[in-house]
Amino acid sequence: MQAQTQRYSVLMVDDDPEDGVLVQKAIASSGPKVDFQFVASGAEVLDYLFTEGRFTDRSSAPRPNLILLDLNMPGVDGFSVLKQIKSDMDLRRIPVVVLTTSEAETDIVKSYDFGANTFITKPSSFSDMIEVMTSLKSYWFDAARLPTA
Amino acid sequence: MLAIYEYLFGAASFVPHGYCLAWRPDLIAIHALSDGVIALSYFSIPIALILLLNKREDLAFKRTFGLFALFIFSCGVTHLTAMIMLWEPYYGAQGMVKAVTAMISVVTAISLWPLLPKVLALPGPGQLRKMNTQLAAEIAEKNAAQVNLHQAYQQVEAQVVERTRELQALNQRLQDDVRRRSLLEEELREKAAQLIATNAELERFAYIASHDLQEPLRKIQAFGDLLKSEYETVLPDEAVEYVRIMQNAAYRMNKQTKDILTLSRLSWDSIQFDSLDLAEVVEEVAFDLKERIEEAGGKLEVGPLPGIPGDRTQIRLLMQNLLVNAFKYREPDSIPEVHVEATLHDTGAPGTGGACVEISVRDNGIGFAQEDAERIFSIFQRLHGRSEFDGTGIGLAICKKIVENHNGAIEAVSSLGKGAVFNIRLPTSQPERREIHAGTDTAV
Ligand SMILES: Nc1ncnc2c1ncn2[C@@H]1O[C@H](COP(=O)(O)OP(=O)(O)OP(=O)(O)O)[C@@H](O)[C@H]1O
Ligand SMILES: [Mg+2]
Repeated sequence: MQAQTQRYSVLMVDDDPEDGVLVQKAIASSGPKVDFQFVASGAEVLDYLFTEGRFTDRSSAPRPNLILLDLNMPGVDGFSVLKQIKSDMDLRRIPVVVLTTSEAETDIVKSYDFGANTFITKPSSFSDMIEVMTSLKSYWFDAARLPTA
Repeated sequence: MLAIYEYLFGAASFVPHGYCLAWRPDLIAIHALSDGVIALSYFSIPIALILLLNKREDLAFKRTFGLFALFIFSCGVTHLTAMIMLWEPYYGAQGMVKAVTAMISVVTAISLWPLLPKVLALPGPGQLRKMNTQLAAEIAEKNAAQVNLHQAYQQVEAQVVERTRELQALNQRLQDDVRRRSLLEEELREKAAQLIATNAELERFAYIASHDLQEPLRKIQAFGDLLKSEYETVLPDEAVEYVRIMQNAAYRMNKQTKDILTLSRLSWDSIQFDSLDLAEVVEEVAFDLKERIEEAGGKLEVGPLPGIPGDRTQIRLLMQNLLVNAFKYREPDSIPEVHVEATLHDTGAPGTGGACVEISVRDNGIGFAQEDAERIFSIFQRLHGRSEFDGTGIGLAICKKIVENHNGAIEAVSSLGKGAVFNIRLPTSQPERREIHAGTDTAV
Protein backbone atom coordinates (compact mmCIF):
# COMPACT_ATOMS: atom_id res chain seq x y z
CA MET A 1 0.00 0.00 0.00
CA GLN A 2 1.03 3.59 -0.51
CA ALA A 3 1.36 4.16 3.24
CA GLN A 4 4.58 2.25 3.09
CA THR A 5 6.12 4.62 0.58
CA GLN A 6 4.70 8.00 1.51
CA ARG A 7 5.76 9.69 4.74
CA TYR A 8 2.67 11.22 6.41
CA SER A 9 2.81 14.26 8.63
CA VAL A 10 0.73 14.77 11.78
CA LEU A 11 0.38 18.22 13.33
CA MET A 12 -0.70 18.41 16.96
CA VAL A 13 -1.79 21.56 18.74
CA ASP A 14 -2.19 21.46 22.50
CA ASP A 15 -1.39 23.94 25.26
CA ASP A 16 -0.14 20.95 27.28
CA PRO A 17 3.32 19.89 25.95
CA GLU A 18 3.26 16.78 28.18
CA ASP A 19 0.36 15.46 26.16
CA GLY A 20 2.49 16.26 23.11
CA VAL A 21 5.17 13.94 24.45
CA LEU A 22 2.63 11.18 25.15
CA VAL A 23 1.05 11.41 21.73
CA GLN A 24 4.44 11.51 20.03
CA LYS A 25 5.52 8.39 21.92
CA ALA A 26 2.24 6.69 21.17
CA ILE A 27 2.45 7.49 17.49
CA ALA A 28 6.02 6.27 17.41
CA SER A 29 5.10 2.91 18.92
CA SER A 30 2.12 2.35 16.66
CA GLY A 31 3.19 0.93 13.32
CA PRO A 32 4.72 2.86 10.43
CA LYS A 33 6.72 5.98 11.12
CA VAL A 34 5.08 9.36 10.53
CA ASP A 35 6.34 12.90 10.81
CA PHE A 36 5.14 14.53 14.02
CA GLN A 37 4.92 18.28 14.54
CA PHE A 38 3.82 19.99 17.71
CA VAL A 39 2.71 23.56 18.47
CA ALA A 40 1.46 24.78 21.85
CA SER A 41 -1.17 27.40 21.02
CA GLY A 42 -4.03 28.30 18.70
CA ALA A 43 -2.18 31.35 17.42
CA GLU A 44 0.88 29.27 16.58
CA VAL A 45 -1.05 26.63 14.68
CA LEU A 46 -2.60 29.32 12.50
CA ASP A 47 0.88 30.74 11.81
CA TYR A 48 2.05 27.23 10.96
CA LEU A 49 -0.85 26.50 8.60
CA PHE A 50 -0.71 29.88 6.86
CA THR A 51 3.13 29.84 6.83
CA GLU A 52 3.45 33.02 8.79
CA GLY A 53 5.57 34.21 11.74
CA ARG A 54 8.31 31.72 12.51
CA PHE A 55 6.87 29.17 10.05
CA THR A 56 7.62 30.87 6.77
CA ASP A 57 9.98 28.07 5.80
CA ARG A 58 7.88 25.15 4.46
CA SER A 59 10.69 22.66 4.85
CA SER A 60 10.66 23.00 8.63
CA ALA A 61 6.85 23.19 8.67
CA PRO A 62 5.50 20.53 6.33
CA ARG A 63 1.85 20.70 5.34
CA PRO A 64 0.09 18.20 7.67
CA ASN A 65 -2.03 15.26 6.49
CA LEU A 66 -3.82 15.09 9.81
CA ILE A 67 -4.39 17.66 12.52
CA LEU A 68 -4.84 16.74 16.22
CA LEU A 69 -6.62 19.67 17.81
CA ASP A 70 -7.11 20.45 21.49
CA LEU A 71 -10.21 22.47 22.40
CA ASN A 72 -9.43 24.23 25.68
CA MET A 73 -6.53 26.53 24.96
CA PRO A 74 -5.88 30.02 26.30
CA GLY A 75 -6.17 32.78 23.69
CA VAL A 76 -7.24 31.34 20.34
CA ASP A 77 -9.15 28.22 21.35
CA GLY A 78 -9.77 25.01 19.40
CA PHE A 79 -13.11 26.12 18.02
CA SER A 80 -11.70 29.29 16.43
CA VAL A 81 -8.82 27.29 14.94
CA LEU A 82 -11.34 24.78 13.60
CA LYS A 83 -13.47 27.54 12.12
CA GLN A 84 -10.46 29.12 10.37
CA ILE A 85 -9.25 25.82 8.97
CA LYS A 86 -12.67 24.82 7.70
CA SER A 87 -13.33 28.19 6.09
CA ASP A 88 -10.06 28.10 4.15
CA MET A 89 -10.57 26.67 0.64
CA ASP A 90 -7.29 24.76 0.78
CA LEU A 91 -6.88 23.80 4.46
CA ARG A 92 -10.46 22.51 4.84
CA ARG A 93 -9.45 19.26 3.11
CA ILE A 94 -7.07 18.31 5.93
CA PRO A 95 -8.89 15.98 8.36
CA VAL A 96 -9.10 17.44 11.86
CA VAL A 97 -9.26 15.13 14.86
CA VAL A 98 -10.40 16.89 18.02
CA LEU A 99 -8.34 15.36 20.84
CA THR A 100 -9.43 16.79 24.15
CA THR A 101 -10.06 16.02 27.84
CA SER A 102 -13.69 17.04 27.42
CA GLU A 103 -16.48 14.46 27.33
CA ALA A 104 -19.23 17.04 27.19
CA GLU A 105 -22.01 16.54 24.69
CA THR A 106 -22.08 20.25 23.84
CA ASP A 107 -18.38 20.18 22.89
CA ILE A 108 -18.89 17.07 20.75
CA VAL A 109 -21.86 18.58 18.90
CA LYS A 110 -20.16 21.94 18.42
CA SER A 111 -16.98 20.31 17.09
CA TYR A 112 -18.84 18.37 14.39
CA ASP A 113 -20.95 21.43 13.59
CA PHE A 114 -17.72 23.35 12.99
CA GLY A 115 -16.50 20.63 10.64
CA ALA A 116 -14.35 18.37 12.79
CA ASN A 117 -13.83 14.92 11.24
CA THR A 118 -13.51 13.01 14.52
CA PHE A 119 -13.90 13.67 18.20
CA ILE A 120 -11.77 11.71 20.66
CA THR A 121 -11.50 12.06 24.42
CA LYS A 122 -7.91 11.65 25.60
CA PRO A 123 -7.55 8.17 27.08
CA SER A 124 -6.07 7.93 30.56
CA SER A 125 -3.62 5.10 30.03
CA PHE A 126 -0.66 5.09 27.70
CA SER A 127 -1.66 1.76 26.19
CA ASP A 128 -5.07 3.20 25.33
CA MET A 129 -3.32 6.17 23.78
CA ILE A 130 -1.24 3.80 21.62
CA GLU A 131 -4.48 2.07 20.62
CA VAL A 132 -6.09 5.36 19.64
CA MET A 133 -3.08 6.42 17.58
CA THR A 134 -2.87 3.03 15.93
CA SER A 135 -6.48 3.16 14.81
CA LEU A 136 -6.21 6.80 13.72
CA LYS A 137 -3.19 6.03 11.59
CA SER A 138 -4.67 2.88 10.10
CA TYR A 139 -7.91 4.68 9.32
CA TRP A 140 -6.68 7.97 7.86
CA PHE A 141 -3.41 6.83 6.36
CA ASP A 142 -4.36 3.31 5.39
CA ALA A 143 -8.08 2.75 4.88
CA ALA A 144 -9.10 6.25 3.83
CA ARG A 145 -7.86 8.02 0.75
CA LEU A 146 -6.67 11.60 1.09
CA PRO A 147 -6.00 14.13 -1.64
CA THR A 148 -2.38 13.90 -2.72
CA ALA A 149 -1.60 17.59 -2.61
CA MET B 1 -141.59 83.64 112.14
CA LEU B 2 -142.25 86.69 114.12
CA ALA B 3 -142.65 84.46 117.16
CA ILE B 4 -139.15 83.05 116.65
CA TYR B 5 -137.69 86.53 116.30
CA GLU B 6 -139.58 87.61 119.36
CA TYR B 7 -138.25 84.59 121.19
CA LEU B 8 -134.69 85.29 120.21
CA PHE B 9 -134.47 89.03 120.32
CA GLY B 10 -137.66 90.05 122.16
CA ALA B 11 -136.22 92.26 124.80
CA ALA B 12 -139.47 93.73 126.08
CA SER B 13 -139.55 91.96 129.37
CA PHE B 14 -135.83 91.69 130.12
CA VAL B 15 -133.06 94.08 131.02
CA PRO B 16 -129.62 94.03 129.50
CA HIS B 17 -126.83 92.38 131.46
CA GLY B 18 -125.24 95.74 132.06
CA TYR B 19 -128.08 96.51 134.25
CA CYS B 20 -127.11 93.69 136.57
CA LEU B 21 -123.73 95.40 136.77
CA ALA B 22 -125.49 98.60 137.65
CA TRP B 23 -123.97 100.09 134.47
CA ARG B 24 -120.74 100.60 136.30
CA PRO B 25 -118.46 101.67 133.55
CA ASP B 26 -115.40 99.85 134.87
CA LEU B 27 -117.28 96.56 135.12
CA ILE B 28 -118.98 97.06 131.77
CA ALA B 29 -115.59 97.83 130.24
CA ILE B 30 -113.79 94.85 131.69
CA HIS B 31 -116.58 92.43 130.66
CA ALA B 32 -117.02 93.91 127.24
CA LEU B 33 -113.28 94.08 126.50
CA SER B 34 -112.58 90.63 127.86
CA ASP B 35 -115.41 89.01 125.95
CA GLY B 36 -114.45 90.91 122.82
CA VAL B 37 -110.76 89.95 123.03
CA ILE B 38 -111.70 86.32 123.83
CA ALA B 39 -114.11 86.23 120.89
CA LEU B 40 -111.50 87.70 118.51
CA SER B 41 -108.91 85.28 119.74
CA TYR B 42 -111.33 82.38 119.41
CA PHE B 43 -112.15 83.40 115.86
CA SER B 44 -108.50 83.61 114.95
CA ILE B 45 -107.77 80.10 116.17
CA PRO B 46 -110.09 78.23 113.73
CA ILE B 47 -108.77 80.38 110.87
CA ALA B 48 -105.26 79.31 111.76
CA LEU B 49 -106.43 75.73 112.11
CA ILE B 50 -108.19 75.76 108.72
CA LEU B 51 -105.15 77.29 107.07
CA LEU B 52 -103.03 74.57 108.66
CA LEU B 53 -105.45 71.90 107.47
CA ASN B 54 -105.28 73.23 103.92
CA LYS B 55 -101.49 73.43 103.89
CA ARG B 56 -100.75 70.10 105.53
CA GLU B 57 -102.43 67.48 103.47
CA ASP B 58 -100.68 64.69 105.40
CA LEU B 59 -102.05 65.80 108.80
CA ALA B 60 -103.71 63.03 110.79
CA PHE B 61 -107.16 63.36 112.43
CA LYS B 62 -108.44 65.97 109.99
CA ARG B 63 -112.06 65.57 111.12
CA THR B 64 -111.14 66.17 114.73
CA PHE B 65 -109.20 69.23 113.75
CA GLY B 66 -112.31 70.49 111.91
CA LEU B 67 -114.54 69.80 114.88
CA PHE B 68 -112.10 71.55 117.14
CA ALA B 69 -112.08 74.57 114.88
CA LEU B 70 -115.89 74.66 114.95
CA PHE B 71 -115.89 74.21 118.71
CA ILE B 72 -113.57 77.12 119.28
CA PHE B 73 -115.44 79.22 116.77
CA SER B 74 -118.73 78.55 118.61
CA CYS B 75 -117.06 79.42 121.92
CA GLY B 76 -116.00 82.69 120.25
CA VAL B 77 -119.59 83.33 119.25
CA THR B 78 -120.71 82.64 122.87
CA HIS B 79 -118.29 85.30 124.13
CA LEU B 80 -119.42 87.68 121.40
CA THR B 81 -123.04 87.25 122.44
CA ALA B 82 -122.04 87.71 126.09
CA MET B 83 -120.48 91.04 125.11
CA ILE B 84 -123.56 92.10 123.19
CA MET B 85 -125.70 90.99 126.08
CA LEU B 86 -124.21 93.77 128.25
CA TRP B 87 -126.24 96.20 126.33
CA GLU B 88 -129.02 94.21 124.60
CA PRO B 89 -131.15 91.58 126.46
CA TYR B 90 -131.18 88.83 123.72
CA TYR B 91 -131.37 85.96 126.18
CA GLY B 92 -133.19 83.72 123.70
CA ALA B 93 -130.44 84.09 121.08
CA GLN B 94 -127.74 83.71 123.73
CA GLY B 95 -129.40 80.53 124.97
CA MET B 96 -129.55 79.16 121.42
CA VAL B 97 -125.88 80.03 120.86
CA LYS B 98 -124.91 78.36 124.10
CA ALA B 99 -127.00 75.30 123.20
CA VAL B 100 -125.32 75.01 119.80
CA THR B 101 -121.91 75.50 121.43
CA ALA B 102 -122.78 72.90 124.02
CA MET B 103 -123.72 70.42 121.32
CA ILE B 104 -120.52 71.05 119.41
CA SER B 105 -118.55 70.78 122.65
CA VAL B 106 -120.13 67.48 123.46
CA VAL B 107 -119.51 66.09 119.99
CA THR B 108 -115.91 67.34 120.06
CA ALA B 109 -115.33 65.96 123.52
CA ILE B 110 -116.86 62.62 122.59
CA SER B 111 -114.87 62.37 119.40
CA LEU B 112 -111.73 63.31 121.32
CA TRP B 113 -111.72 60.44 123.81
CA PRO B 114 -111.51 57.50 121.45
CA LEU B 115 -108.80 59.39 119.64
CA LEU B 116 -106.66 59.60 122.71
CA PRO B 117 -104.95 56.19 122.40
CA LYS B 118 -104.41 56.82 118.72
CA VAL B 119 -102.88 60.22 119.39
CA LEU B 120 -100.75 58.67 122.10
CA ALA B 121 -99.59 56.12 119.63
CA LEU B 122 -98.30 58.90 117.44
CA PRO B 123 -94.62 59.55 118.03
CA GLY B 124 -93.86 62.41 120.19
CA PRO B 125 -91.07 64.83 119.43
CA GLY B 126 -88.70 62.92 121.74
CA GLN B 127 -89.55 59.78 120.05
CA LEU B 128 -89.15 61.52 116.74
CA ARG B 129 -85.75 62.75 117.75
CA LYS B 130 -84.84 59.28 118.78
CA MET B 131 -86.15 57.96 115.55
CA ASN B 132 -84.27 60.68 113.81
CA THR B 133 -80.96 59.76 115.40
CA GLN B 134 -81.78 56.16 114.69
CA LEU B 135 -82.46 57.10 111.11
CA ALA B 136 -79.26 59.14 111.02
CA ALA B 137 -77.42 56.11 112.39
CA GLU B 138 -79.05 53.96 109.81
CA ILE B 139 -78.13 56.45 107.12
CA ALA B 140 -74.61 56.60 108.44
CA GLU B 141 -74.57 52.84 108.42
CA LYS B 142 -75.92 52.85 104.87
CA ASN B 143 -73.34 55.43 103.92
CA ALA B 144 -70.64 53.31 105.47
CA ALA B 145 -71.98 50.34 103.53
CA GLN B 146 -71.95 52.45 100.43
CA VAL B 147 -68.39 53.48 101.14
CA ASN B 148 -67.59 49.82 101.62
CA LEU B 149 -69.40 49.03 98.42
CA HIS B 150 -67.53 51.77 96.67
CA GLN B 151 -64.26 50.46 98.02
CA ALA B 152 -65.20 46.97 96.94
CA TYR B 153 -66.10 48.34 93.55
CA GLN B 154 -62.80 50.17 93.36
CA GLN B 155 -61.04 47.00 94.39
CA VAL B 156 -62.84 45.04 91.69
CA GLU B 157 -62.09 47.79 89.24
CA ALA B 158 -58.43 47.70 90.19
CA GLN B 159 -58.48 43.95 89.82
CA VAL B 160 -60.10 44.27 86.43
CA VAL B 161 -57.47 46.80 85.42
CA GLU B 162 -54.78 44.52 86.77
CA ARG B 163 -56.24 41.49 85.00
CA THR B 164 -56.61 43.48 81.81
CA ARG B 165 -52.98 44.54 82.07
CA GLU B 166 -51.98 40.93 82.64
CA LEU B 167 -54.03 39.85 79.66
CA GLN B 168 -52.52 42.59 77.56
CA ALA B 169 -49.07 41.55 78.67
CA LEU B 170 -49.92 37.94 77.87
CA ASN B 171 -51.29 39.01 74.54
CA GLN B 172 -48.16 41.02 73.88
CA ARG B 173 -46.05 38.00 74.81
CA LEU B 174 -48.11 35.81 72.51
CA GLN B 175 -47.76 38.32 69.71
CA ASP B 176 -44.04 38.50 70.38
CA ASP B 177 -43.93 34.71 70.34
CA VAL B 178 -45.80 34.61 67.08
CA ARG B 179 -43.54 37.27 65.63
CA ARG B 180 -40.45 35.45 66.91
CA ARG B 181 -41.77 32.19 65.52
CA SER B 182 -42.44 33.65 62.12
CA LEU B 183 -38.97 35.19 62.24
CA LEU B 184 -37.58 31.77 63.09
CA GLU B 185 -39.57 30.23 60.30
CA GLU B 186 -38.24 32.87 57.96
CA GLU B 187 -34.74 32.10 59.19
CA LEU B 188 -35.37 28.40 58.74
CA ARG B 189 -36.56 28.97 55.21
CA GLU B 190 -33.46 31.04 54.52
CA LYS B 191 -31.27 28.35 56.07
CA ALA B 192 -32.98 25.70 53.96
CA ALA B 193 -32.44 27.78 50.85
CA GLN B 194 -28.82 28.32 51.88
CA LEU B 195 -28.46 24.61 52.48
CA ILE B 196 -29.83 23.83 49.07
CA ALA B 197 -27.49 26.39 47.58
CA THR B 198 -24.56 25.02 49.58
CA ASN B 199 -25.48 21.51 48.54
CA ALA B 200 -25.65 22.51 44.91
CA GLU B 201 -22.33 24.27 45.33
CA LEU B 202 -20.80 21.21 46.99
CA GLU B 203 -22.05 18.99 44.23
CA ARG B 204 -20.62 21.43 41.74
CA PHE B 205 -17.39 21.47 43.67
CA ALA B 206 -17.30 17.67 43.66
CA TYR B 207 -17.88 17.77 39.95
CA ILE B 208 -15.17 20.34 39.26
CA ALA B 209 -12.72 18.75 41.69
CA SER B 210 -13.15 15.27 40.28
CA HIS B 211 -13.07 16.62 36.76
CA ASP B 212 -9.91 18.60 37.36
CA LEU B 213 -8.30 15.77 39.31
CA GLN B 214 -8.66 13.55 36.31
CA GLU B 215 -6.24 15.62 34.29
CA PRO B 216 -3.14 15.15 36.53
CA LEU B 217 -4.25 11.58 37.22
CA ARG B 218 -4.29 10.82 33.54
CA LYS B 219 -0.70 12.10 33.38
CA ILE B 220 0.41 9.94 36.32
CA GLN B 221 -1.11 6.89 34.71
CA ALA B 222 0.07 7.61 31.20
CA PHE B 223 3.65 8.48 32.17
CA GLY B 224 3.76 5.52 34.55
CA ASP B 225 2.81 3.37 31.62
CA LEU B 226 5.43 5.06 29.51
CA LEU B 227 8.07 4.58 32.20
CA LYS B 228 7.25 0.92 32.42
CA SER B 229 7.07 0.25 28.71
CA GLU B 230 10.32 2.05 27.93
CA TYR B 231 12.44 1.22 30.99
CA GLU B 232 11.01 -2.00 32.42
CA THR B 233 13.98 -3.94 31.08
CA VAL B 234 16.61 -1.65 32.57
CA LEU B 235 14.95 -0.95 35.93
CA PRO B 236 15.57 -3.19 38.95
CA ASP B 237 12.57 -5.40 39.85
CA GLU B 238 11.88 -3.40 43.01
CA ALA B 239 11.57 -0.16 41.03
CA VAL B 240 9.18 -1.84 38.58
CA GLU B 241 7.09 -3.03 41.54
CA TYR B 242 6.96 0.51 42.95
CA VAL B 243 5.78 1.82 39.61
CA ARG B 244 3.11 -0.90 39.53
CA ILE B 245 1.83 0.15 42.96
CA MET B 246 1.75 3.79 41.89
CA GLN B 247 -0.10 2.80 38.76
CA ASN B 248 -2.67 0.84 40.76
CA ALA B 249 -3.27 3.74 43.10
CA ALA B 250 -3.65 6.08 40.18
CA TYR B 251 -6.07 3.69 38.51
CA ARG B 252 -8.17 3.45 41.68
CA MET B 253 -8.20 7.18 42.13
CA ASN B 254 -9.18 7.57 38.52
CA LYS B 255 -12.15 5.23 38.96
CA GLN B 256 -13.08 7.01 42.15
CA THR B 257 -13.06 10.49 40.66
CA LYS B 258 -15.00 9.19 37.67
CA ASP B 259 -17.61 7.64 39.97
CA ILE B 260 -17.89 10.83 42.03
CA LEU B 261 -18.29 12.72 38.79
CA THR B 262 -21.05 10.34 37.75
CA LEU B 263 -22.76 10.66 41.12
CA SER B 264 -22.66 14.45 41.14
CA ARG B 265 -23.88 14.56 37.55
CA LEU B 266 -26.86 12.49 38.64
CA SER B 267 -27.79 15.27 41.04
CA TRP B 268 -27.80 18.10 38.62
CA ASP B 269 -28.28 16.80 35.14
CA SER B 270 -31.83 16.79 33.90
CA ILE B 271 -33.57 13.46 33.57
CA GLN B 272 -35.43 12.24 30.52
CA PHE B 273 -38.15 9.63 30.92
CA ASP B 274 -38.37 7.42 27.87
CA SER B 275 -40.27 4.18 27.61
CA LEU B 276 -37.56 1.61 28.13
CA ASP B 277 -37.55 -2.09 27.51
CA LEU B 278 -35.97 -3.28 30.75
CA ALA B 279 -35.14 -6.67 29.18
CA GLU B 280 -33.14 -4.90 26.49
CA VAL B 281 -31.26 -2.77 29.01
CA VAL B 282 -30.35 -5.80 31.12
CA GLU B 283 -29.26 -7.66 28.00
CA GLU B 284 -26.91 -4.82 27.09
CA VAL B 285 -25.40 -4.77 30.56
CA ALA B 286 -25.05 -8.56 30.55
CA PHE B 287 -23.22 -8.28 27.25
CA ASP B 288 -20.73 -5.84 28.80
CA LEU B 289 -20.19 -8.18 31.75
CA LYS B 290 -19.99 -11.33 29.65
CA GLU B 291 -16.27 -11.80 30.12
CA ARG B 292 -16.47 -11.33 33.85
CA ILE B 293 -19.35 -13.77 34.21
CA GLU B 294 -17.77 -16.42 32.05
CA GLU B 295 -14.45 -16.01 33.84
CA ALA B 296 -16.14 -16.95 37.10
CA GLY B 297 -18.16 -19.70 35.45
CA GLY B 298 -21.24 -17.84 36.65
CA LYS B 299 -24.84 -17.87 35.51
CA LEU B 300 -27.19 -14.97 34.92
CA GLU B 301 -30.88 -15.85 34.81
CA VAL B 302 -33.16 -13.10 33.59
CA GLY B 303 -36.92 -13.53 33.96
CA PRO B 304 -39.48 -11.73 31.81
CA LEU B 305 -39.02 -7.99 32.28
CA PRO B 306 -41.56 -5.26 31.51
CA GLY B 307 -41.16 -1.91 29.84
CA ILE B 308 -40.76 1.03 32.24
CA PRO B 309 -40.53 4.78 31.92
CA GLY B 310 -36.97 5.77 32.69
CA ASP B 311 -33.74 7.47 31.73
CA ARG B 312 -31.85 4.92 29.61
CA THR B 313 -28.33 5.90 30.71
CA GLN B 314 -29.29 5.95 34.36
CA ILE B 315 -31.26 2.69 34.42
CA ARG B 316 -28.40 1.04 32.60
CA LEU B 317 -25.94 2.35 35.17
CA LEU B 318 -28.23 1.08 37.93
CA MET B 319 -28.46 -2.44 36.55
CA GLN B 320 -24.75 -2.48 35.78
CA ASN B 321 -23.76 -1.56 39.34
CA LEU B 322 -26.11 -4.13 40.86
CA LEU B 323 -24.99 -6.91 38.53
CA VAL B 324 -21.30 -6.12 38.99
CA ASN B 325 -21.80 -6.31 42.75
CA ALA B 326 -23.81 -9.53 42.48
CA PHE B 327 -20.98 -11.27 40.65
CA LYS B 328 -18.21 -9.53 42.61
CA TYR B 329 -19.26 -10.39 46.16
CA ARG B 330 -19.29 -14.16 45.67
CA GLU B 331 -18.11 -17.13 47.69
CA PRO B 332 -14.58 -17.97 46.47
CA ASP B 333 -15.23 -21.60 45.62
CA SER B 334 -18.82 -21.60 44.42
CA ILE B 335 -20.40 -20.81 41.11
CA PRO B 336 -22.08 -17.40 41.21
CA GLU B 337 -25.75 -17.45 40.21
CA VAL B 338 -27.64 -14.21 39.74
CA HIS B 339 -31.37 -13.81 39.10
CA VAL B 340 -33.06 -10.73 37.75
CA GLU B 341 -36.84 -10.74 38.03
CA ALA B 342 -39.69 -8.26 37.94
CA THR B 343 -43.28 -8.23 39.17
CA LEU B 344 -46.01 -5.70 38.56
CA HIS B 345 -48.07 -4.34 41.46
CA ASP B 346 -51.22 -2.25 41.33
CA THR B 347 -50.11 -0.31 44.37
CA GLY B 348 -46.99 0.44 46.35
CA ALA B 349 -45.25 3.09 44.27
CA PRO B 350 -43.20 5.15 46.74
CA GLY B 351 -44.86 8.44 47.56
CA THR B 352 -47.93 8.14 45.34
CA GLY B 353 -48.92 4.58 46.24
CA GLY B 354 -49.81 3.96 42.60
CA ALA B 355 -48.87 1.05 40.36
CA CYS B 356 -45.24 -0.01 40.38
CA VAL B 357 -42.72 -2.49 39.04
CA GLU B 358 -40.67 -4.39 41.57
CA ILE B 359 -37.31 -5.44 40.19
CA SER B 360 -35.16 -7.82 42.20
CA VAL B 361 -31.51 -8.69 41.71
CA ARG B 362 -30.68 -11.81 43.72
CA ASP B 363 -27.30 -13.50 44.14
CA ASN B 364 -25.94 -16.49 46.04
CA GLY B 365 -22.82 -14.67 47.24
CA ILE B 366 -21.34 -13.84 50.63
CA GLY B 367 -24.19 -11.55 51.65
CA PHE B 368 -23.99 -9.20 54.65
CA ALA B 369 -25.65 -8.67 58.00
CA GLN B 370 -29.10 -7.13 57.62
CA GLU B 371 -28.11 -4.32 60.00
CA ASP B 372 -25.69 -3.06 57.33
CA ALA B 373 -28.39 -3.07 54.66
CA GLU B 374 -29.01 0.64 54.91
CA ARG B 375 -25.55 2.13 55.24
CA ILE B 376 -24.15 0.45 52.14
CA PHE B 377 -26.20 2.93 50.11
CA SER B 378 -24.17 5.82 51.53
CA ILE B 379 -21.17 7.00 49.59
CA PHE B 380 -17.82 5.35 50.52
CA GLN B 381 -19.51 2.79 52.80
CA ARG B 382 -17.92 -0.60 52.22
CA LEU B 383 -18.26 -3.78 54.21
CA HIS B 384 -15.23 -5.47 52.75
CA GLY B 385 -11.56 -4.51 52.62
CA ARG B 386 -9.87 -3.70 49.35
CA SER B 387 -7.62 -6.73 49.67
CA GLU B 388 -10.72 -8.94 49.63
CA PHE B 389 -12.77 -7.11 47.04
CA ASP B 390 -11.74 -4.15 44.96
CA GLY B 391 -14.06 -1.18 44.95
CA THR B 392 -14.58 2.45 45.90
CA GLY B 393 -17.94 2.27 47.69
CA ILE B 394 -19.77 4.61 45.34
CA GLY B 395 -21.71 2.08 43.25
CA LEU B 396 -24.72 1.72 45.51
CA ALA B 397 -24.83 5.46 46.24
CA ILE B 398 -25.16 5.92 42.49
CA CYS B 399 -27.92 3.27 42.44
CA LYS B 400 -29.81 5.02 45.21
CA LYS B 401 -29.56 8.40 43.48
CA ILE B 402 -30.83 6.93 40.22
CA VAL B 403 -33.78 5.23 41.91
CA GLU B 404 -34.63 8.49 43.70
CA ASN B 405 -34.43 10.36 40.42
CA HIS B 406 -37.06 7.90 39.18
CA ASN B 407 -39.29 8.50 42.22
CA GLY B 408 -38.64 4.97 43.38
CA ALA B 409 -37.16 3.13 46.35
CA ILE B 410 -34.36 0.62 46.79
CA GLU B 411 -33.65 -1.76 49.66
CA ALA B 412 -31.29 -4.62 50.37
CA VAL B 413 -32.19 -7.88 52.10
CA SER B 414 -29.48 -10.26 53.19
CA SER B 415 -27.83 -12.22 55.92
CA LEU B 416 -24.20 -13.28 56.18
CA GLY B 417 -23.33 -16.14 53.83
CA LYS B 418 -26.84 -16.35 52.45
CA GLY B 419 -26.59 -14.23 49.34
CA ALA B 420 -28.22 -10.84 48.88
CA VAL B 421 -31.35 -9.46 47.25
CA PHE B 422 -31.68 -5.88 46.03
CA ASN B 423 -35.30 -4.82 45.55
CA ILE B 424 -36.21 -1.76 43.54
CA ARG B 425 -39.68 -0.32 43.23
CA LEU B 426 -40.27 2.07 40.34
CA PRO B 427 -43.57 3.74 39.46
CA THR B 428 -45.07 2.60 36.15
CA SER B 429 -45.80 6.18 35.17
CA GLN B 430 -43.54 9.22 35.43
CA PRO B 431 -43.95 12.93 34.86
CA GLU B 432 -42.95 13.90 31.32
CA ARG B 433 -39.69 15.48 32.30
CA ARG B 434 -38.18 16.42 35.61
CA GLU B 435 -35.57 19.07 36.12
CA ILE B 436 -33.39 17.98 38.98
CA HIS B 437 -31.20 21.00 38.66
CA ALA B 438 -30.68 23.55 35.99
CA GLY B 439 -27.90 21.24 34.94
CA THR B 440 -25.36 22.00 32.30
CA ASP B 441 -23.47 19.60 30.18
CA THR B 442 -20.58 21.83 29.30
CA ALA B 443 -17.09 20.93 30.34
CA VAL B 444 -16.01 22.71 33.46
N1 LIG C 1 -24.38 -8.27 46.26
C1 LIG C 1 -23.69 -7.99 47.36
N2 LIG C 1 -23.37 -8.96 48.26
C2 LIG C 1 -22.66 -8.66 49.35
N3 LIG C 1 -22.23 -7.44 49.69
C3 LIG C 1 -22.53 -6.44 48.84
C4 LIG C 1 -23.25 -6.64 47.64
N4 LIG C 1 -23.40 -5.46 47.02
C5 LIG C 1 -22.76 -4.54 47.79
N5 LIG C 1 -22.24 -5.11 48.89
C6 LIG C 1 -21.49 -4.46 49.98
O1 LIG C 1 -21.83 -3.09 49.95
C7 LIG C 1 -20.66 -2.28 49.79
C8 LIG C 1 -20.97 -1.07 48.93
O2 LIG C 1 -21.21 -1.46 47.59
P1 LIG C 1 -20.93 -0.43 46.43
O3 LIG C 1 -21.35 -1.05 45.16
O4 LIG C 1 -21.52 0.88 46.83
O5 LIG C 1 -19.37 -0.23 46.49
P2 LIG C 1 -18.24 -1.18 45.96
O6 LIG C 1 -18.81 -2.30 45.20
O7 LIG C 1 -17.38 -1.50 47.13
O8 LIG C 1 -17.46 -0.18 45.04
P3 LIG C 1 -17.89 0.35 43.59
O9 LIG C 1 -18.03 1.84 43.82
O10 LIG C 1 -16.78 0.01 42.72
O11 LIG C 1 -19.18 -0.29 43.25
C9 LIG C 1 -19.66 -3.19 49.17
O12 LIG C 1 -18.36 -2.79 49.53
C10 LIG C 1 -20.01 -4.54 49.77
O13 LIG C 1 -19.39 -4.66 51.02
MG1 LIG D 1 -20.15 -1.92 43.51
